[in-house]
Amino acid sequence: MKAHRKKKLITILSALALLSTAVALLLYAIGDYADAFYEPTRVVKGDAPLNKTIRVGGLVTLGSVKRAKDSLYVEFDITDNQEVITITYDKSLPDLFREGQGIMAEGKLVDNKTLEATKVLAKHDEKYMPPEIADTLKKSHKEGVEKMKQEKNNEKGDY
Amino acid sequence: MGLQEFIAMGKHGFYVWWSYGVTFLSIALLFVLFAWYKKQLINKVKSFKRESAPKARSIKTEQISD
Amino acid sequence: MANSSKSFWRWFHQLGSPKWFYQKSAKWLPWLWAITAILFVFGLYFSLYASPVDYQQGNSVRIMYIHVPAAVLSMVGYLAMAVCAVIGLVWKMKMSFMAMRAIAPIGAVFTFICLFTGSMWGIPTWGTWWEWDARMTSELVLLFLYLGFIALHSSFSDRNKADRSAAILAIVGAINVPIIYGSVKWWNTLHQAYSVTKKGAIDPQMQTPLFIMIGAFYLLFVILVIVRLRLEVINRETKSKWLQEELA
Repeated sequence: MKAHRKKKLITILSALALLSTAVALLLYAIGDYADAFYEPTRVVKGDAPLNKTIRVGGLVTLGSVKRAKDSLYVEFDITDNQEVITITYDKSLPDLFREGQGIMAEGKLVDNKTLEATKVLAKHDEKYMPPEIADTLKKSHKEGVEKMKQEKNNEKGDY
Repeated sequence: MGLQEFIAMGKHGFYVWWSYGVTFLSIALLFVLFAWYKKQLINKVKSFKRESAPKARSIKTEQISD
Repeated sequence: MANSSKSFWRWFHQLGSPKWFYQKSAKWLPWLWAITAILFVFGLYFSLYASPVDYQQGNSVRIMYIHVPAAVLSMVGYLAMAVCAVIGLVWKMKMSFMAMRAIAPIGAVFTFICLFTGSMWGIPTWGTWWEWDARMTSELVLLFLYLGFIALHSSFSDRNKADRSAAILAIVGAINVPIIYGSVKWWNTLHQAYSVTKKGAIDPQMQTPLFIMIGAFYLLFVILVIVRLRLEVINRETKSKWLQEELA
């Protein structure tokens, strides 16, 4: 490579390295603010403002989903394993909404226990599979758990 | 599986067909755009040829802007 | 080794010749079209019909088969553009700036497809068509970079200046590509983490159609770039005798 070309290439590369460092630092700094949401504990404590659009995130409590018979209206609880708050929503829930799944709800707090949501978001877990395989996996997981329990009982019996 | 069922895609037909439709339509549009551009370019080349043919020795070196 | 590196450089120089490319590419195109068509026939048959639905997403999983290939090519396209920009600036190779310019509109369209199909998937699956998370925002930035490149290039009447300034934008903007790729790992995004490169995340019955579609999109992208690059050759070689003979 000729000298002037080498010099040019080095200039380009070093400028690029500098710039990417700057951008990386900037993104690192804003990254912390990007996903601001309230956990149920903070909502119950009264940290979250009433009547202002906010976001809360947590796991949908098992067995808490109550659907209205004649409309899309639905109520469910979310928890951060410490406190529980209730979410009300009147549009159709995303396909990924499941009991036990983590979700994020956007809306206004009615009181420090209830949020009237205008949007419910559910995250995908990067797994793609046909229903039959999901069933088989679930079943074999259950069987495995049973087996482990049995083995544990057997062990206990030995002593 | 019937045709109706295939089109409906459960409750997701709307989203699936819009996705595939817009995808292939926008790629087709690119080809149309390129074909139109080619026509323009060929006219440009032809008119240049006509212009420069009688006095081929004095071809100007001006830039032809895009 | 010496021999192969010699033939590489010969090929590199041939590729640098607009005339060589213009004549050869006319012969490549029918073959490329044929392979692409076959891949699309199989790819679309599987992705729209013969592949199973997802246990959570149902039929909307079919959107993945065009969303992922479009996303891959939006990023690969930009990187290719940046590489052409570097070669053009350093080696002053005629063809590389032409190729750089040819990629831009095509990359922009693939980025748009990626964003649009992502939204169409997001509505039923996530419950929103847009979220300002790192993945989606950085992909949107990519679209703006492509559009910015096109606008910048066309704003100069002097072609040399246009090439050089646009090349600098292409190189600087390339930083965004690793950011798009890494975003799902570095930040808490609504967008899911890697599944294509993660073993076992996608069931083989879905992986096969996805790979066929990625192949088909790759070839379609190459065809589009060749078609556009041939036009760029016509545009810049208007005064060449060989071209006037070609077109006569």
